[in-house]
Amino acid sequence: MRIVTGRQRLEFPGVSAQIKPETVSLQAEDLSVIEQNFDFDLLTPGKMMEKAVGSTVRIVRTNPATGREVTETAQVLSANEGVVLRIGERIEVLRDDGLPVRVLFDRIPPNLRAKPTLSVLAESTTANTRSVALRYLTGGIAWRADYVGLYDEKRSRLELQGWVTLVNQSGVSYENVRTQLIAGSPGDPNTHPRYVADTPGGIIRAGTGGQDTSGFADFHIYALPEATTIAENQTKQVAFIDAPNVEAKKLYVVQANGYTSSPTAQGADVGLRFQNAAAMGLDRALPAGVMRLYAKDSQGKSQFIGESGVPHTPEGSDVGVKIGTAFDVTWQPTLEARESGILNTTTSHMRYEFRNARNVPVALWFRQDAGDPRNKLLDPSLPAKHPDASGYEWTMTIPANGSTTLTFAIREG
Amino acid sequence: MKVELQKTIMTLRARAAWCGSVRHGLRRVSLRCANCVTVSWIVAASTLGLADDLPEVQASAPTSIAVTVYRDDLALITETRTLTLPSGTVRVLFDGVMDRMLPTSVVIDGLDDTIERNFSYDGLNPRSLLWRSVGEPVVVTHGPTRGAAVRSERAVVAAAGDGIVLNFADHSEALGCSGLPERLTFERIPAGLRARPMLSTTLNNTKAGQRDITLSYLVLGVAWRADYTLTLEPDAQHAQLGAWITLTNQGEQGISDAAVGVVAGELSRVWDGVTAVQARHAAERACWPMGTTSDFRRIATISVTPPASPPPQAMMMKGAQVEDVVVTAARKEAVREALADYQLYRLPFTTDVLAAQTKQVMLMQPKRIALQRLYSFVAGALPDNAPTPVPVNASILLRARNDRDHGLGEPLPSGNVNVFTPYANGDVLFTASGETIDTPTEVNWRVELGQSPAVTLMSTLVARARSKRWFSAGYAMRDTVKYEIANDTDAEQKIELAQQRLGASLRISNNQDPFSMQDGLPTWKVVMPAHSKRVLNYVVSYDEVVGD
Repeated sequence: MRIVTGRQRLEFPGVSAQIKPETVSLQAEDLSVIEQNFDFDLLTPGKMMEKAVGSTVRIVRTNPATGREVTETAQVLSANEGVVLRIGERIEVLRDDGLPVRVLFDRIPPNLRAKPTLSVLAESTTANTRSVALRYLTGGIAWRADYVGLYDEKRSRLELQGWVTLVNQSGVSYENVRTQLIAGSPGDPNTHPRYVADTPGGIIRAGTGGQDTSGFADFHIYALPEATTIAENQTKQVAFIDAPNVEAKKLYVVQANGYTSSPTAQGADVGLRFQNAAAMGLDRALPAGVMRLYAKDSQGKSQFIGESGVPHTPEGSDVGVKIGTAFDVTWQPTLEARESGILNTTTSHMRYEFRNARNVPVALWFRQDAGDPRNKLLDPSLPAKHPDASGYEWTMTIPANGSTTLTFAIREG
Repeated sequence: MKVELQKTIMTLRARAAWCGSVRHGLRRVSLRCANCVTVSWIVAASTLGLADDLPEVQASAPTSIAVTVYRDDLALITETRTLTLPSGTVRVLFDGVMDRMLPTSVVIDGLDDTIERNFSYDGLNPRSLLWRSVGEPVVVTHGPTRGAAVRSERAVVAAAGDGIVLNFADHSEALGCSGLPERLTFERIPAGLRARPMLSTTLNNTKAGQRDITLSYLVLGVAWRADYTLTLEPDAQHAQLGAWITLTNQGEQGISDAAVGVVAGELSRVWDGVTAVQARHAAERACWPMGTTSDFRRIATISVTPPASPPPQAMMMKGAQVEDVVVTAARKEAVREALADYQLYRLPFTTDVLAAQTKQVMLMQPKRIALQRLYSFVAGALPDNAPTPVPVNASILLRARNDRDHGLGEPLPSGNVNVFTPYANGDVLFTASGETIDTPTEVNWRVELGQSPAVTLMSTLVARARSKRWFSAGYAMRDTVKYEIANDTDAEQKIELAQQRLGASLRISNNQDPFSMQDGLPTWKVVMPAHSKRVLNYVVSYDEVVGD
């Protein structure tokens, strides 16, 4: 940038429209910044008229019958809801009669810009062309990870690819930039959570195997390998994970709270579980994003089977991803009886029927939330686990084209 | 659990960026324009994306296309394309992808060592044309107006954000504010704007030559649902059940000659605002305030008008948006296979799913099934001071076990069921419609069809005894109840009355009519002749549960 001696205004057009001006820092040899302005007063017809209040414009009236033009000089008195003009001694509202009137402005007000512009008032003691580094934070440009997983149920294998997706809606393009991506949550109160994942997604067991990437503070940094251009309104994806042989188990999940009957059978949730571990070819923390899952159909074509949010996942974690709701694996609850006892106790007798209309046996995990920790499980027909104070869990295999019935009672109070 | 997007810290090295820009953009700069505008054009012109010197290869148009349609407004497009690759770093361009694609869902099979891929949705439209033309010379044509010839003047676009400002040789002017006919003519399309959305991928190719690749991506705006037609036989114990796949494409782009499949099942979805980009296409001709001395009342009126509510989804499916409904003549059923945990139905022929079209193809040939049509009531809690009883209408329920004995035995996707009943002379009459849920085999297929005013229930609490419970809070209740069912239809009907669970330790006694347990509730199942009444008397005892 050409810099002269003394005070001068340096302009940086083409900065992001979503720049956070308070974060701007300008660095160059022998250059001291006096003040900086972010001019987001965009040039529009309305703004141009507003800035012309008090000054004169030319108006050109066209006679609709003859086409003859008459040019007059007018002073703009107001531009609020309508434009009020003083023409000679008369006061008029612009185009009050609806007839065509052109308005000619002598010049564009100097502080109106076609595009957002940062201007800096700076001082230098030398004059030459030198490098200037401009640094600022901007919104409107975001990244996440997108994972594509092709699941082979027979082999319990997931072919996983990871992409870094950059979306630029900040209003400008960034050419040939070195790009670093930070995973984690540097505290920004304006950042809204964009992805909400359902059960049974998320980290099931957090790992501690992180030793990759250049962690800084609590976050992971990923640098794109080459300088790249991030154009405006562009979605850019860069490959970063290729793990073709991740062991992943499919699991059907049912979670019940309360004791009720249903006249219909409902589909169980289906999920995948895998480990984010080096042995699986996953040798790094997984940045937050979306995982899309595919399966091959009978013709060998990949078909989409569901997607799920993935949180930032440290290396070595067990990860769960929800695929969807099973069509052919269902559950139906029946409250068979509810009996009252002395001292305000109530015992609910539940029967759950789990059906599998698929031609392979399936593994199903069921949890009954029991609410109050004093509530007690009685007479389960299948052995239960009691992993925490307020729930009971069962793991069962439902035979192909068959069903499994679970009965138990819960005494409350 | 939440996942947060991070804003990126961009460090721009000013010299590298600006000087590089000047090289690319300088020849396009118009000397007339204001300094600030000039500079911003330099930046814009050089940063439109594909500004480097990589060799580009255009993939062929799709040689075959398959589309898998999901229920919630989503479809997977799979295209086969051919291209010839040189070795080395190369950029492959895919033209003609659908504009409602979710760019992050793209999967390309058959290309190795991909470096990056880009999707630019900033296609050519009036808005982008103007925005990219800031600083560019244009020709403004005024007129024709009466008595004046058409005049053209050269100008430079000074701004094109909210409204358009033009710089002429001796003045500046806003476009479209004078009330005169004015139009812009552009000399060229600014670099980087494409007539259609463009997907590109950059890769390090090792083996030169021709190859076939598969490109797949998800698009929004295409959906399907199942529509069942059920025609009851006069005995109401059998029916003809057929089903259609109704495909709708609410987008502006059609899909031609595609292998079509539909998936029944509930997929986990992530709704995010990043991929669903709503690009604005129309150029805005905003002006200065246009109020006049006579229109203030009008402004006030507008401000109190409530916004129009959007039409419900069902209306949109059937309403004016859809231009035509095509029912394919070929009587061919879709072929089912299991796909992961869903059902995939393939149409046995390739077909078109044109823009704004609704198409129906056969999901299931009509077949005879055995079913129950019954009327049901739930006997609930009766208040102490019951007002004079009023008849309550029965719910109409169709129920068939999904197995071969009932003529079924295939998975039945959720959908809308239209029910027809026989009428005089073999005609049928549309009588009701209801919704079903996904129903696998060996469970009940249920359709709830609303209420019947011809089958009614009168509930009476005849007596209530209350006694304090021992060693527990609350009371033990003993209700003597009378339920009077009336069948005012012209036929014998099956009617069920289920006693709702009241409190705990529910017991039924003093009943003349036997009951059975169904879905955990004591249920009376009665068959009543046409135009008959029947009374069920019993005693229901139960303990109040504190907190219920």
